[in-house]
Amino acid sequence: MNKLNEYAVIGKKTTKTDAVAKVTGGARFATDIYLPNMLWAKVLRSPVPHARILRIDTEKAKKLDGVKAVLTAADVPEARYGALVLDMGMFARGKVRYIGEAVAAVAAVNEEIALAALKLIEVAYEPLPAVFDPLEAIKPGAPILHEDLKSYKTLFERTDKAMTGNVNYQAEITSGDLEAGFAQSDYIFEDSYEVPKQHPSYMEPNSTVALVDSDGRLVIHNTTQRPHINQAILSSLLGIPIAKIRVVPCHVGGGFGGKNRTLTEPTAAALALKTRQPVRLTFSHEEEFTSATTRHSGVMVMKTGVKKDGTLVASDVKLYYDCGAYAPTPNAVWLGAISSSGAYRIPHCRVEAYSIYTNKMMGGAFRGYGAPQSNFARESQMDRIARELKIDPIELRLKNCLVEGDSLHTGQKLHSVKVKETLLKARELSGWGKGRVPANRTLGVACGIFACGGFATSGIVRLNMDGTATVATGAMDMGQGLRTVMGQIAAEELGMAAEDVTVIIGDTDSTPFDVGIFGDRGTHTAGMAVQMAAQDARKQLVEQAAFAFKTTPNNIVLGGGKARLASDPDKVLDYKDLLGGGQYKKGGPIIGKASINLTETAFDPAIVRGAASRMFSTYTFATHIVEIEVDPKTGVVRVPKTYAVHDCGTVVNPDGLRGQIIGGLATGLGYALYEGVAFENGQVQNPSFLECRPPTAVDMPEIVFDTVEEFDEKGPFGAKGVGNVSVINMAPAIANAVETATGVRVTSLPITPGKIVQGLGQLAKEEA
Amino acid sequence: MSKHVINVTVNGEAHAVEVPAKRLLADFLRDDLLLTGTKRGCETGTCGACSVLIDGEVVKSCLNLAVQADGRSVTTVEGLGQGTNLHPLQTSFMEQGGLQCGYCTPGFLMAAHDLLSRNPSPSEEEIREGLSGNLCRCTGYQGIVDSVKNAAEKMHGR
Repeated sequence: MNKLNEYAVIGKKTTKTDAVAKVTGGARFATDIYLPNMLWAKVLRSPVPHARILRIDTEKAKKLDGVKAVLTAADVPEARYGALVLDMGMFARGKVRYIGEAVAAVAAVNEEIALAALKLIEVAYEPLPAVFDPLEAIKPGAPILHEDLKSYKTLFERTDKAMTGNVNYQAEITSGDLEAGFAQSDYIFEDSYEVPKQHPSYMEPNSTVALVDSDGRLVIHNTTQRPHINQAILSSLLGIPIAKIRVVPCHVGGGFGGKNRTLTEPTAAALALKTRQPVRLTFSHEEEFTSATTRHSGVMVMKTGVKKDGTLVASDVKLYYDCGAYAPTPNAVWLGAISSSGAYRIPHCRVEAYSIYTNKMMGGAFRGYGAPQSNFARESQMDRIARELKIDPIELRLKNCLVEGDSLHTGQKLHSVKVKETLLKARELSGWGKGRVPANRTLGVACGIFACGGFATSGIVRLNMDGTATVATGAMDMGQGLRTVMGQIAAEELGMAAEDVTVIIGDTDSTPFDVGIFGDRGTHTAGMAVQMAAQDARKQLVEQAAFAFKTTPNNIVLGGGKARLASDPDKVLDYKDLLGGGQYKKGGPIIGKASINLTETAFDPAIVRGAASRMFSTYTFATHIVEIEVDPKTGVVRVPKTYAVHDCGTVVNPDGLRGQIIGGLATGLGYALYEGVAFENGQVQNPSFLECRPPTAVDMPEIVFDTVEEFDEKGPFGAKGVGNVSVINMAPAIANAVETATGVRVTSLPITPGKIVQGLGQLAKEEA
Repeated sequence: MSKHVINVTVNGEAHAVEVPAKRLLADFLRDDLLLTGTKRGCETGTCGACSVLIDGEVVKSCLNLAVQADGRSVTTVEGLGQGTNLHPLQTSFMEQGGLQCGYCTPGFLMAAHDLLSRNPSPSEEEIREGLSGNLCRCTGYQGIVDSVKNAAEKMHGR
């Protein structure tokens, strides 16, 4: 099983391979590319939430000195793209559907002229009624955003309710007998919860430099989590074969899901093709907050039946996720549906999940993907149940939590289930119920589950003449450290030092396909492909050594960059001598490869309708306990301490693991307390870090961090991901602690001082 | 548009250049000198990715004009240390989990440099306070705080 002690590289402190470049200013990001004759692009955006475009006049802009090209929908192929619903073009065509939608783009010799040219473009709009609330948008008679919705291409099995009205994606999960489940219940709890949009707030804005190279190929330098999908989307939007497009991603200044998108690439590419000059398109900070993508806002309605002893019996969940005007990733609500029963065994379940259009900026992927919303509902309600039934919140969770061999409500049988262990360890660390907490502090708990890994990927491992190795993977490092982890995995498998492995990531010319890094599939799934490719290379290396030693492969031992004879350990050959001089006596150069898809089993259609994926590879679990202080006068919440226990399989890189988990807690803290994109008639009211602020160093709690290590049979060396589950527990844990501290149950995020003060006022009135 | 000749020393190298009056220091460093280690993030002085030192004191270069650096000495991350001659802050950030994506890192290094020059042995609380003008979305700050603590120890031979 877990052989951590036997590993030479896995689980050992390994400095990030890009660390020197990143501390010296040498790491090149997309915004750092300056090319001769480079043009600067700017985008004209809709000032209205919903309108017909009557006329666009670009003549004056085109005549401005220094302007090289102006494009609108009329100048580009009429093609649409999206992950599951192909609903969005490069520019608004005929209609605009949100404030911030791209209407036209300019390329000019400098940024100033490009901005001046935007002001010269005249657009005549005929306003249309708009809808901003997802529950309003699904009522009969609501303004319709996409009149031809039914004709759009989709890549999922449509239910009756999908692609009708303003609903794009829709899914239903039904397990057990819901009516019977509620009939057996002693108590029924029914609650509604609401969450806002949260911006991913990566520090580096979306940016692309596009050019046509000397062979006439389109070259893209960008910041992305999915270079190979970018390449495919550019191909379909521009009508260029995939092989004529090269995407060369730069260092990514944070992604968190937000860069699992294709936003700046098509526009920059179209302008480069038009002008035959390099074109840079970088989002302004304000564009990030109006025209990129956010976590989906939404409403969750949760009805749960419970026995007197706290046993969960039945659950009826409705998820209404607001995807904005287009649905680049409506499957957020599918992941939300999977996580909506929490990390619990509930025999009778129904989930209805809707992704709904409104005239607002787009919802997209962001760490936690769909689960921070539904887990806020589930874990808030669990505490309400515990309070009503007078059961300790952790005991209630332990009583109902999933264990090895259980199935989720989706029918998927689970393996590597460690939620109970995370609950027990977090309880012990925090001193829960032991009266150790200072008088002014209160504890709150939440646990959660998230899908980990899956989908298509591949890896290539080449052994070089000097005994080093070159790994190629299409899977991106967005800063989480995948480049380093991939090197560790290959080094361990090949029996060489981590510094002797160089990892090439992303460049579509030199790396094989990966679908994109999301859903905890970097270390787990792309890492598995690299491990298998390294195993392939290792097998060939063993054969080479056996040939050199005139023995059989089973008599060869590899390690420390050397091959030796098992029967005579003094007989040693360095890899460089085995591979040197290009003299491959046994066959040709050694290239290991692997191509896998860890998402192969379909869900049972009797349980799941409208599934957006096949079954995920595995699931990850975590428990977080927060220690908070609430100022009863101002309602201000501080979180001085947090206990975080994660189930992460085998730890590959301890510093990377710790960093990713604490970073996830920070994002969860922001979601709980500060961050929420505010709208007024579709207009973002707080489009900056100043007004919609992520936590700073002083906001962060002291973190007491631990893991429950387990060997996940589907991950490389037994590893799992932690990128998502680290985000999903903070908001409900804090809401639960706030109720314990003040009696106020806050059912919407963020948990602002105003909501607490108002709640305290309400309680005082009720008592009076 | 009015232009001004400025005399500015950047990472020890003297420059006498004509810049437009409204040129931001960040743009001067990046677009004119191609010192792209200094990042542009929020453009409004909130994120701190563009932090540099002017005469040893940290400023946000997106809130300063190039002409304000006239007659002064600017240090960017490129000037902090290179190759085998890295500053203790740089090696500490590498060793203590002080960075992930690296986009905020140059700004944090400059802010930490300023902090340690004023307070060579800061407490954890003082480090957090001293770095609160810079944002990081990846690390949750713990690795950064540990790095600064570690660098302070290295620099004072403890």
